[in-house]
Amino acid sequence: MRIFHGESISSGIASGKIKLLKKNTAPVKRHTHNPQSEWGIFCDAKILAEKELSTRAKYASEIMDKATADIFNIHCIMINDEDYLSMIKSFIMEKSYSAEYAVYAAALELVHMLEATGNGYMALRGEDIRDVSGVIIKYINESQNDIIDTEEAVIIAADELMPGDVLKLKKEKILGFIIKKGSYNSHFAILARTMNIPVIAGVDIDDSFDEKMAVIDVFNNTVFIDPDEDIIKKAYNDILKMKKLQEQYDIFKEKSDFVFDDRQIRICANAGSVQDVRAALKSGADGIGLFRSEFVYLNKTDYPDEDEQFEIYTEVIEAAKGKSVVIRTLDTDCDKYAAYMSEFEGACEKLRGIAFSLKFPHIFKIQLKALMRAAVFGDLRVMYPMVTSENEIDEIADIIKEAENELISEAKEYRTFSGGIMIENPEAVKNINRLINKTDFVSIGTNDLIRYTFNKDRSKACTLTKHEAKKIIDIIKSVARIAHLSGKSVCICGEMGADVSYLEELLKAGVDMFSVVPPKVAELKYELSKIVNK
Amino acid sequence: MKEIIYTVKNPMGFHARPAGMLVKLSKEYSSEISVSKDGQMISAGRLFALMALGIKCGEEIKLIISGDDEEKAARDIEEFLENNL
Repeated sequence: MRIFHGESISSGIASGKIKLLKKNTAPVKRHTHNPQSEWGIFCDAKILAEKELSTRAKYASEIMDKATADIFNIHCIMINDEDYLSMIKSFIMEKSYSAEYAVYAAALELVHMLEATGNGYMALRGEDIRDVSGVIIKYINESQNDIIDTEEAVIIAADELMPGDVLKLKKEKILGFIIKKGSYNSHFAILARTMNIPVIAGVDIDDSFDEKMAVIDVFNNTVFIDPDEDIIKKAYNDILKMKKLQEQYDIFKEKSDFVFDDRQIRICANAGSVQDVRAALKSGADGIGLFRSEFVYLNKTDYPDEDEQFEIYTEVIEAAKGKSVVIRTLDTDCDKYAAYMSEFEGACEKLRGIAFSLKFPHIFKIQLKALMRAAVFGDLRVMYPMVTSENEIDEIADIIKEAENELISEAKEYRTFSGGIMIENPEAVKNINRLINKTDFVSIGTNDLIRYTFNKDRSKACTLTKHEAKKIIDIIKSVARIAHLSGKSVCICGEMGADVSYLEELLKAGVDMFSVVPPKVAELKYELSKIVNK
Repeated sequence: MKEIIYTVKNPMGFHARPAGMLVKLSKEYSSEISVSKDGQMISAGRLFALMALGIKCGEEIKLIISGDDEEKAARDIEEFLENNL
């Protein structure tokens, strides 16, 4: 057995036989005596390649989000780039290169050009032009075999893989990838993650890998070649267990008419991006119970404007296909704010949750306006993080009124939404009697509630003793009792809600809706059906 | 002739996606559209040449638009820049 360590760039476990993809050997420099006919060969191949690229782009836009699918739209632009084409033409007509070599040499030159910008991200895009050129070369040498034609599913090992390579493969035929070169941000890695296929990069691959058995354990960044019996057994068992359980759960994933104690129970999912929303729907979620709007703000150089936010929220709502979406307004904390948010310097602890939005109402108003405009397109509800007092709810209402007036004077389409508060600390729990009259629903954020109740360290994983769990469930029960008296529903979002061992107690405590990570949806529905059928 | 001066705000700079979108957009107008940076001027229809300018976040670029539909082109491009760069 040989053990290799690498970097996991897409998560999972896989076990199977390796299919080694031979390095795309560089075409041999070859000259032609008949440039005119060679140019004709290129033009024919280019037409076919262009067709393939646009089919790919169409396929990609059906199975992935717009940003990822755009990679393939760019390929369609690349193949028609005048610099690229004129370079190929001059290589063939003036230097008498063969069509294949001319395409190869032109791609190489462009790759060097992009690398020379010194911008790592730009240099990465060199993979795209080599991908495009590879497609043309494939049609030039029609003899070239397709990338994989095995009967059984395999682990693919290769020096490097192009985004197009992944699309060409049938997902059922790939167990995982082992590659030598590849980074987390490469288009290849983005695709592998979208398709949920494990990848280990940075492995020193050699010819001996071909046809060998291998186990990829992404959780430990390890590849085992010719794994020992016990490693195979363990991986096999892990995969089987995961699969069996998932199959069992999946039977229940589309079920949504659960009733407990005369209350309709919904299992929703958490999301932080449009892709997450799509994954959530696939997992069977009854809606999005918590959409963290932070991602709209982070990784940027300035606050996003109203139109930009409006477009993102609309895309989120449309991705939910008619199911309800609860978007939480900006919720920043000490390790979750962008560099441009200078307001946080030295004050992040005081400005947690809704406090920030209320201190800087001009920033908050932009988000509210974008949300109201997006609400026209579906079932949107909005919730406010870490609310503790009635005053805060009154202030929110004032800013909403202002935002609405602005939208009216700007003649923009909008719809008001129902608003809820997040109960995340003991103070809010204490005030729940008064808060409840001013909110449409309540969502309990257990992660923070647990930390603030027991003074736990934020940076550490949160484990509960039996006694602590009981205390939290009692708190939830007291909040739910008051909420139900006023006819308001209670959601729980936080890791506690995703832990099936608490499910029955939380249902008894009065929780109506659970919002959890998408992979947990089916499991919760499975457990839920056992409980309601008791 | 219309001139747009714009400071790139996209953290990844003028990368492949916006460059590709600009190439596509620029083909919708009869006007000549060029991008200039540090004394270099490149037609907005040339993807690789645009990417090779290596425009980073915080850098200033100038777009020159000239032709019959320059008014509309300038308006649309300005909007495009605000939304994507």
